[in-house]
Amino acid sequence: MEKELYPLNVGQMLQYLPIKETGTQRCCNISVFCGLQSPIDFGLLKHAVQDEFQRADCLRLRFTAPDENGDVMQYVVDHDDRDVPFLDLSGMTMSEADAYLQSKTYEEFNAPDIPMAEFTMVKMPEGYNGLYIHIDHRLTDSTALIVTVNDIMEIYCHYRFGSEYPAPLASFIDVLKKDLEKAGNSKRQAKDEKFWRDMLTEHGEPIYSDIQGPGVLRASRKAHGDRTLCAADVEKKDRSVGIADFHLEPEATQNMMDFCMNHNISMTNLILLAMRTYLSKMNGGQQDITLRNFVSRRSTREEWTCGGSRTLSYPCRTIITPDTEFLDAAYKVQDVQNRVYLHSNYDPMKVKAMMKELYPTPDDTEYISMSLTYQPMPVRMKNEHLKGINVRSVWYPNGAATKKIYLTVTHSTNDGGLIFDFHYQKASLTYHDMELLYYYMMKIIYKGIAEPDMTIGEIITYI
Amino acid sequence: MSEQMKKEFLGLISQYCEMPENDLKPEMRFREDLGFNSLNFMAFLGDIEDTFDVELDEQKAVTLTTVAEALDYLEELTQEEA
Repeated sequence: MEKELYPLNVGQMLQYLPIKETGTQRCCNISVFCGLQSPIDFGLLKHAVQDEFQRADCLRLRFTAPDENGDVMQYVVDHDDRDVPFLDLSGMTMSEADAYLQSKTYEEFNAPDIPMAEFTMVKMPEGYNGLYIHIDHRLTDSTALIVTVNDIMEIYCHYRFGSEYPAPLASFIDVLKKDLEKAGNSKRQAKDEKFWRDMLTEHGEPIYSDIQGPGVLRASRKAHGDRTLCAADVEKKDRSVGIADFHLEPEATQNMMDFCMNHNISMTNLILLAMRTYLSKMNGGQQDITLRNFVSRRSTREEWTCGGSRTLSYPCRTIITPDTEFLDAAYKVQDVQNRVYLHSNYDPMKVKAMMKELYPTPDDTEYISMSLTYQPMPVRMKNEHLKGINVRSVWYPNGAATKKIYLTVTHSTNDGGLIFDFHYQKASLTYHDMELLYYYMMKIIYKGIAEPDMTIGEIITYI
Repeated sequence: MSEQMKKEFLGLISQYCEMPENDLKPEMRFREDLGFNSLNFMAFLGDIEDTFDVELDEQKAVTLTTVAEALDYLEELTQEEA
């Protein structure tokens, strides 16, 4: 039977673009270990993983060879009956085991028509047992991966303890068809295009800001011989990535969540406000700051469980004067984000192209130095039989930092506190820079939450 | 508003939450009772525009709190269109 071919959706395309640009699939890899500090019946776990391959059609996606334009199509195979290998790393130290799994992260899925996901059962040190998942980003984003892990553990509990078998997952292909139909809605496209054009021209050209201060932009201006240049150069040669993880205690996290709840502000917008305020501080009080926010476009129940990559990113530009009170500043960020969300069906690559058309900056320059993803869904073993067992989930970086600073904020599986996971380009930044960034972000948030009528200018002076 | 349109509207809401459309009540609040967050509420507004071919006033739409308010607003818009 002839296979049915589909184009990539916008979220997948966004993941595929770096592969096209760099020629390596590695920058599109996601790798994660997730395990329990408890004995596991690996025979049943294997059964659960094999069930998952059948339940989640996104795991059975294959890609065709690139055409003359470098574009690929995708299709789903009916079955994937591969074995699930087992790896015993329990004789190593935890850092040795992590280093081993980290090295596997660099393995590429570099051929057409091959499986793009590998699941390995792993016995880790310190009594942790679970799965190492190595997968192409087009098959999953972080939200979908968490759904997958949670689903596998629910299936495992069904086989192990007789709990209820989880409800079916939505079909990736069915949702993809709806996405493609929406993308073809010309009225919606016209509205979205108008919104983005208005948004990008409303305040004229944006201006770059950097935690290393205005010297970064000055250097780019000098390099390009243009004193009025508003965008700074992007590091392309050395994309080696550094990681800095910080854990915010559950009590402080709860304070943030209470503030958000009481003032109807989302956690994303509170964190964006802290990031932009620090950039403002480091750039002589610059009022015009642009960040990049990544959102997983999963709104309906089907979109939550269909897998695939639905993560899109858009610029979040705010102009906030120093006399703006902290709470009002948070609402300003939220207002911009709400308007962006309403038009988040629009292809981010078209936004990028529109930006380039409006403000023709030199190639490989950017207005944005920091990006954010807030992931509200933790890897959670919600099954009664797994409650109280320590969970270890580790995301291994793929070794290629395409953004100068990329902050992912997640909720800790074990205590509900927030984890701030900074990935940064080592070519120009150090771990200490990330320590300072985190320290000041927290100081801004604590002060703003405690005294929401304090102005942004006062907070910058205070910290 | 026709029963058919109301049914379609409630069906749309139920795609975004765990609540079957028959259990939805007019006084239910999108955020507190139905679990909408900013992102899916805005996506929902976009779906209303596409499904019913209406143009929402964004400033007004973001202030909608309950199912009844959203229904009233939709009715107002469809009457204007007619």
